[in-house]
Amino acid sequence: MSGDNWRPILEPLCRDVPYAARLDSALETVCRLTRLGAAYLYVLDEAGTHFHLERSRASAAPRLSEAVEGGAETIEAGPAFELPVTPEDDAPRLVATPAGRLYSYPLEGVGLLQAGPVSRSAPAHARRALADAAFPLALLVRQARQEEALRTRLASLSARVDAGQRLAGSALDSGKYVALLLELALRATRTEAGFVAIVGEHGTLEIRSQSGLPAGFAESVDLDPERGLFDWSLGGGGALILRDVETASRLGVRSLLAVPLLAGDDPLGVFALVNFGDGGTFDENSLPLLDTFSDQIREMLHNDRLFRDFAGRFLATVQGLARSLDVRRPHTNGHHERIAANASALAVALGHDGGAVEALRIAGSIHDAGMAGGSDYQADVDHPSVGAGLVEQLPLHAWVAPAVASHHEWWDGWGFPLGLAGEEIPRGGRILAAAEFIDEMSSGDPVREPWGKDKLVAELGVRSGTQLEPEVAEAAIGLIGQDGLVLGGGQ
Amino acid sequence: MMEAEVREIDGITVIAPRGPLDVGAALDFRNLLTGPIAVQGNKVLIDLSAVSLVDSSGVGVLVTAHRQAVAAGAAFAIAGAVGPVGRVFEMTRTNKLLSIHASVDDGLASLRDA
Repeated sequence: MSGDNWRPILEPLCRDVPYAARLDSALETVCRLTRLGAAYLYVLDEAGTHFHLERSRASAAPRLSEAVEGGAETIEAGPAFELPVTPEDDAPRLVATPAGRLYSYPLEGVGLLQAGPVSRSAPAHARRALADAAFPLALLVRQARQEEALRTRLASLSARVDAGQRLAGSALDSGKYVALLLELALRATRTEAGFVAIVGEHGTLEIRSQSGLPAGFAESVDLDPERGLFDWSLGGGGALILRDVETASRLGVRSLLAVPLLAGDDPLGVFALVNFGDGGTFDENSLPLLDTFSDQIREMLHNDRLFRDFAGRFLATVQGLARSLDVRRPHTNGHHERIAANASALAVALGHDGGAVEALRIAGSIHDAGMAGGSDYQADVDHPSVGAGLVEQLPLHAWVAPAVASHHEWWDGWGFPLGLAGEEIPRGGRILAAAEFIDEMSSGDPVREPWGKDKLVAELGVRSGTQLEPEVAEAAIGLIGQDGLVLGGGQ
Repeated sequence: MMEAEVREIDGITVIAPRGPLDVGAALDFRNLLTGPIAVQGNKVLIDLSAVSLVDSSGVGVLVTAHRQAVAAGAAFAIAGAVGPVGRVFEMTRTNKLLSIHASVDDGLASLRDA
């Protein structure tokens, strides 16, 4: 036996390459050593009754024409994908196959290697080379299969452990968590690219997270359930198919496996793995991993939806509590609604984005809810912190809780509860402070008449740079001049 | 180019694609099915036992072909979708939309009765 042949056959075990690449490399070596054009590796199934074609290496497949009703179909002849186990397989022999006459050699404990095509008998050098290669090849296949099984198992376990560990720390940030799971899934399945699309409020799919996709791919894919890439309207049960094969092909997709993410039969989103060009297709080992990651993402999205649903209801309860405080006195009736409207109007005038504007609307609608804790002096001092504490765990815009907590701080540091000054005060709090001042002064109270617009504008000028941030005070003055704010006292 | 074997057994057209049924093969596969499923009374069995893996495009072609066959009055069934191939139909929830049989013999038997 030539030990020189062992090295090239076993060499792929020393490289960190995929399972299939290891076998392909070994078959390439077999073809080179035997000087034959094709080599087919069969492995024994778990039942021990059949050999399954695991990998093949062939320079070109012969073409056959087969007569069928209505014409002839041209097919490319290839090896059988499955062979029944027979006693003759235990010894080297010639076999006739759709791929031609092949020399079949047993691989102990693994399966068969068939190489050819050969004529009436295999050339002596090919028989010798196969005899030399059989043992190291069987060793390589066994080792590679064991490593692949371990890798799959390890990746699956790692994914669950990693995901579980990170779940606790990112319960409020499902976007990051989904992105993390996507990255882990791509790495574990050795897939080029992938994305997670979420069902939006109006039933449309929106890509939440993506990795490895070519530039412009996400933008050019139509995810409309009625006419887009996927068909998800197949009569219940959440069945999902890729409908627009032409577009997928035009975008260079070689294979795409999309799994519906469901809560019962309720669609949450789609988890898709994509290979491009010659990147190949998914192997069977990818499927259990895909299952594992689908479960994790589905669980995350389901929990996220439940949490947001709960958060919405909880916020509505806090808003109801705030309104109940307003109706106790005639001059405060509608206070929170007006602050919500005016704070968001100020945010727009100051050029903030839609998220910040909505955050100010929410913060305005609950800013005094902390007053429900009591009516003494300390409760009055603490109400910004107490109110912020009611909502700080909710998945709201990052401005909401800090704005509530700081809406009684003064620009010059003379406010409460912390005595923050200038830029130390969150911008949302500075805006809310102006809206609060305008509403209280324009509403009046039992011992003070409501201020009119002129008085308000004058006082805003006076308090600019002391109680109020100058830029915010200036924006408020501008809006009052345009009747752009809702004033109290029926003005 | 997709590889496929087409044969007739007891008046049933048996189409057996080979290799992966992915985006690269889906259009050829769809073209291959279009004729047989469009004729009222035809019986078509797709033998997937030589398919190494199917992706969402392959599943899509089979589901669409099934719907079009039913609409045209043809009978359509799938056989040999075992192992990873069968698992893909379950993962995409399409197994309940299709008539899937473990073996070609089972598939032929179901179509003879159709």
